Amino acid sequence: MLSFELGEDLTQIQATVRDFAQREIRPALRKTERSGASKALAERYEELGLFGLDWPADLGGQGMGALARVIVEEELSLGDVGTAFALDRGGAAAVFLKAAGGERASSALSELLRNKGSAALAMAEDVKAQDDFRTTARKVGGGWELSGKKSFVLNGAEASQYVVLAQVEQGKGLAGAGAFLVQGGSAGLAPGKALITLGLQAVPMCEVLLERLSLPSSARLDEPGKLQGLLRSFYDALSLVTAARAVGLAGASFEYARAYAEERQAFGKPIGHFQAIAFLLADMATAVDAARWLLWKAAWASERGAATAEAAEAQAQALEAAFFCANSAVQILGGAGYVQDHPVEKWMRDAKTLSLYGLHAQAAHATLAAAELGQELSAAELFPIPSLHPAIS
Amino acid sequence: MIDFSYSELQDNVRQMVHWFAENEVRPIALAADRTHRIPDEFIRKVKEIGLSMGPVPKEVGGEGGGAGEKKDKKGTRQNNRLSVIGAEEMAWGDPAVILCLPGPGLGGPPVNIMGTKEQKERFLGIFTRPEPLWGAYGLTEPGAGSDVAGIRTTAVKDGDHYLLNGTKCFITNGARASWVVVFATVDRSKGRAGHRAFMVEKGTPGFSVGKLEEKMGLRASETAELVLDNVRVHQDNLLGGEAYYEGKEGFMGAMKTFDSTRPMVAAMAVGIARAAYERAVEFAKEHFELGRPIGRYHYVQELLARSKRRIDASRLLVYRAAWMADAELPNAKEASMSKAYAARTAVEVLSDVVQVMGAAGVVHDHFVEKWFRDIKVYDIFEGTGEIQRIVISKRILKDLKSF
Ligand SMILES: Cc1cc2nc3c(=O)[nH]c(=O)nc-3n(C[C@H](O)[C@H](O)[C@H](O)COP(=O)(O)OP(=O)(O)OC[C@H]3O[C@@H](n4cnc5c(N)ncnc54)[C@H](O)[C@@H]3O)c2cc1C
Repeated sequence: MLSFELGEDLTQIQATVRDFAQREIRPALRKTERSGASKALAERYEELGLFGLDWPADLGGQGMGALARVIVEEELSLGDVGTAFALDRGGAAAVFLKAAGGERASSALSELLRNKGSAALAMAEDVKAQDDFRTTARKVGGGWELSGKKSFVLNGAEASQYVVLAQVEQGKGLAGAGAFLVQGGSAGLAPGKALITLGLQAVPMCEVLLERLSLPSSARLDEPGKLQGLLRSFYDALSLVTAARAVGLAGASFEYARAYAEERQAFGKPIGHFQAIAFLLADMATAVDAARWLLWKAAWASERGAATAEAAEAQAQALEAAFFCANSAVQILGGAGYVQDHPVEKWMRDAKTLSLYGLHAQAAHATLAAAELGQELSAAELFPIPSLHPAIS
Repeated sequence: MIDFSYSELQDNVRQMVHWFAENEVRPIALAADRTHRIPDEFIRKVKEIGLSMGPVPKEVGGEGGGAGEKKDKKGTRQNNRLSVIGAEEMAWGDPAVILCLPGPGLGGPPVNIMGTKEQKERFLGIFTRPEPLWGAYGLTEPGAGSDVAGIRTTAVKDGDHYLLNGTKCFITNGARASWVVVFATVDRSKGRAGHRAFMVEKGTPGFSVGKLEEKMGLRASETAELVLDNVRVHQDNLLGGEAYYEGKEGFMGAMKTFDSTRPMVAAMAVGIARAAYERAVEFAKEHFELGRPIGRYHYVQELLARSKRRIDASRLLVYRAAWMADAELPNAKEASMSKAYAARTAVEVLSDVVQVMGAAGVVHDHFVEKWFRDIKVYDIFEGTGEIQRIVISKRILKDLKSF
């Protein structure tokens, strides 16, 4: 039928979250960047039922669909994208657990909801150009023993649950790797070096060290040999979240620059009345909308079946819009854009960082191209792990 | 509710037009470009099938808006969505041939929006006849393109008639048209408030065709200069009648036509970009360099993926603008967004596609080379990219009147 009308329920949710984002998230953005989401913000987020929004009701979630989730993520990020990350205590790990399904993952999710803990995904490693993870999982007795070092782990120091990817069979790459659930505070698990990031600093990043960490056999989340398929669904879902945050970031940057251009005067008129600025704003507005429609379409499609190409497409488009808008916003504010009195310098750093999160920008393009060229969508080379740069096949 | 799927009617239109584009348009397109003309046989077929460029309303015996001013379950009109769906498919077939289809063309909307009942019957009713006929839209002049307010063609009242003098240029189907909507001014000092739209019929004494343009692309499409030398036009040919121009609406009414024509033109740009992109994908699968298909190279994948997502995003901007027009929501900003984004995207996609295809992309008698020439004008006519950005900026920045 082709309709762009949101409908009553989603419009209501959108308005509620927008209000929260503008009134509470935006004013606290610098504080959140320095020290994470405040208790007050976190409580409000839970009160609104935003955590577990798209998890099944029997796990304690709200049972909503992907479209609701992306609308919420966009609105939160219209307030501040860093805060959207900080409030989401499940992070990419929860997306992974949801994609994994099964008893172990499901109970981990409901536990997360109940005990107000947080989760971390320990996947990437600081080692390039090899197909295996250096972190290993050995069968020992009736269980597993994990050893190695994970890097670039968001919330890596304080999570109550970790999803750790490790090599089970050497020399087999992803086909021989597995995913394991680890409780925070387990003996053999320790945070390593803290990593200071360019942007998205509200959630700290660090290395995670695993030293002869013992796990029961039930800790394995994937079925042997099926990790690649699971990663595909994981990235498909994560791409929607990332894209939604990118659209929010783009929208926030546009709106901030637009308002500034109406007020700031130069040569006797508002700078927005100069074509070079006005046309840039027109292109920003268009970029935001273009990205949002692809995002909504991908979310809508994902509620109706696998939507790998659509999700990758939405992510790549949204990341482009985010950086374009944030970069342009700094330009439009001039010197003011570069200092911390205004949020746009932060959003520009956030936008760059966002394009390296999850299925990063090039991997999203590679995925979309693979779909279009009829190539295998779960091929290891399409995933940005374990090596940071997939090798040319 | 959000819905990205096609209704049965929309899908039927899409498939039907696509079938026609693939089986009837593509086979004649290259020759039409070479010879600068459309075979009569093709035009006859178009009439038989009942395809028309620009809708002919039901009240005058036509097919109605696209496949009818049918309303969906909620009573919302559908014709804008049907038009953009059809336009994309038709342009996929060929961007020049679509402009040659008989029908009121760009002249249709002003007659529909501004015309009296009698005028609609007189000027749109002719398209229900069996022979192929065309209408045209004459706004642009040598001294006034983007700056519409600057037109110099004059209209001077003379009893029951008006005397028109001036020159129009770049008028699509201007020479073959049975009538042209000619915009003229009765008082230059009044700017747009002084503008009037006249239905000038072919054969009226003093109304002649100047040169036919040779162009970079769209060569099958006729682009004519029209000369008005003391052309006497009866006041019944003043669109809407005198009363229409007294209200504030007046000439701005004519500008409203852009709200539905811009998404249409944007849809055509999407169709051409998609056609070229599909060729590039096929090429990337089959063409080997250094032992692997070029589609296995990351740089090629990057170009293809970027093209694909921008084409898809353009289409959604088009659908959104068309949906708003159907729902009768003000959509000037969104219509301009769709046109600005789709046209720029299409130009860039064509450039990337030619790059991916190498020599096969630049030799004559290949569609891609032709489409590369055809596409640029989509960022120029129906309001240049810059004009679209002016429309958007005025709607996002307060107190911005003009630059
Ligand atoms: C193939 C073809 C078919 C056409 N068919 C028709 C038709 O059927 N009927 C009809 O009436 N016209 C038709 N046109 C004319 C078309 O609509 C005009 O070419 C178009 O509106 C631009 O006007 P112009 O060519 O005079 O360019 P100009 O207005 O002279 O513009 C030149 C450049 O200046 C820029 N510019 C102008 N004003 C501003 C501003 N304020 N700020 C920033 N930049 C500005 C423009 O964007 C452009 O880049 C056709 C043109 C072509 C090429």
